[in-house]
Amino acid sequence: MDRFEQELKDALKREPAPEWLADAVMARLGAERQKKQKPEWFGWARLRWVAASMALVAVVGGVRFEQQREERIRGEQAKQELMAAFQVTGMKLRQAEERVLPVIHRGQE
Amino acid sequence: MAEVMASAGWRTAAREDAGFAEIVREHQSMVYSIAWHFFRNRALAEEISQDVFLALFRNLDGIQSPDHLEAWLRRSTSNRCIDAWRKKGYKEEIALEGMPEPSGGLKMGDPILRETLRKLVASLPETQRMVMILKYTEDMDPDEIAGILNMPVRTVWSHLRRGVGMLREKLGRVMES
Repeated sequence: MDRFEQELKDALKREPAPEWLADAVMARLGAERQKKQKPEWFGWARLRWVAASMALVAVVGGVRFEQQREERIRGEQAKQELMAAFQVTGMKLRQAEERVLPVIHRGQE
Repeated sequence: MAEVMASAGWRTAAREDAGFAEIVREHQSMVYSIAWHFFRNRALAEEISQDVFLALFRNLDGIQSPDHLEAWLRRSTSNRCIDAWRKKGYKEEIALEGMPEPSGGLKMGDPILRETLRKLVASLPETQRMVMILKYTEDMDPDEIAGILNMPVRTVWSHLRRGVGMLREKLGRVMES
């Protein structure tokens, strides 16, 4: 190695890195780890929320369906009772008519 | 660092924050110097250095020994510098920063001469520049440089001969001016 090359070696000797470089690397490493963990955590959390929401919708829907079914049954019963009442009333009216009409006819004669 | 590397379970220790921070501190000067002499730009040298150490952490499983780790860092730093230079085109930035100012009466051993030499090295083509840095900063043999830069040994010799010749010529012109 001649004098020029020795000069080149001295010129290109190692430079001290900034004091904070190791801390910066560790900070970026920590941030990278968090970044990796976050989507997974968010994924599970989101899945739990979706499952809970679906269960809630199913329960509310089921309750509502059951209420509507009971209302329908009650309505049908009321309708049938009303029809039965009309039939009874009609029958009573016919019986009353059958009794009253002969009396009216006899009176006219 | 010596403790981390001397222990048989150095890789396990390296995966711990404290152990890895020790490895960074031990090798940061080497990694940073290669990037600094290559780019002559502190921000870029810091960024490349951080990227290299993060990549090292991700590749710890592939590192077989402390010697391998050092060689891996040199290879990774050299290749990242050259790739970044080619991809992002830092040429103009360096061209503005790195042009030696004419200064007469320079003598060997002069700090200004050394600074001029550093700037002249930074003005070399990227592969030749990295060969010069690995040779004169890292004191590596042409065989080792050829392995790191994945090129034939005779190409390394050629880069060294031409690089030194170019620097002598340029420096001669600067010293005469």
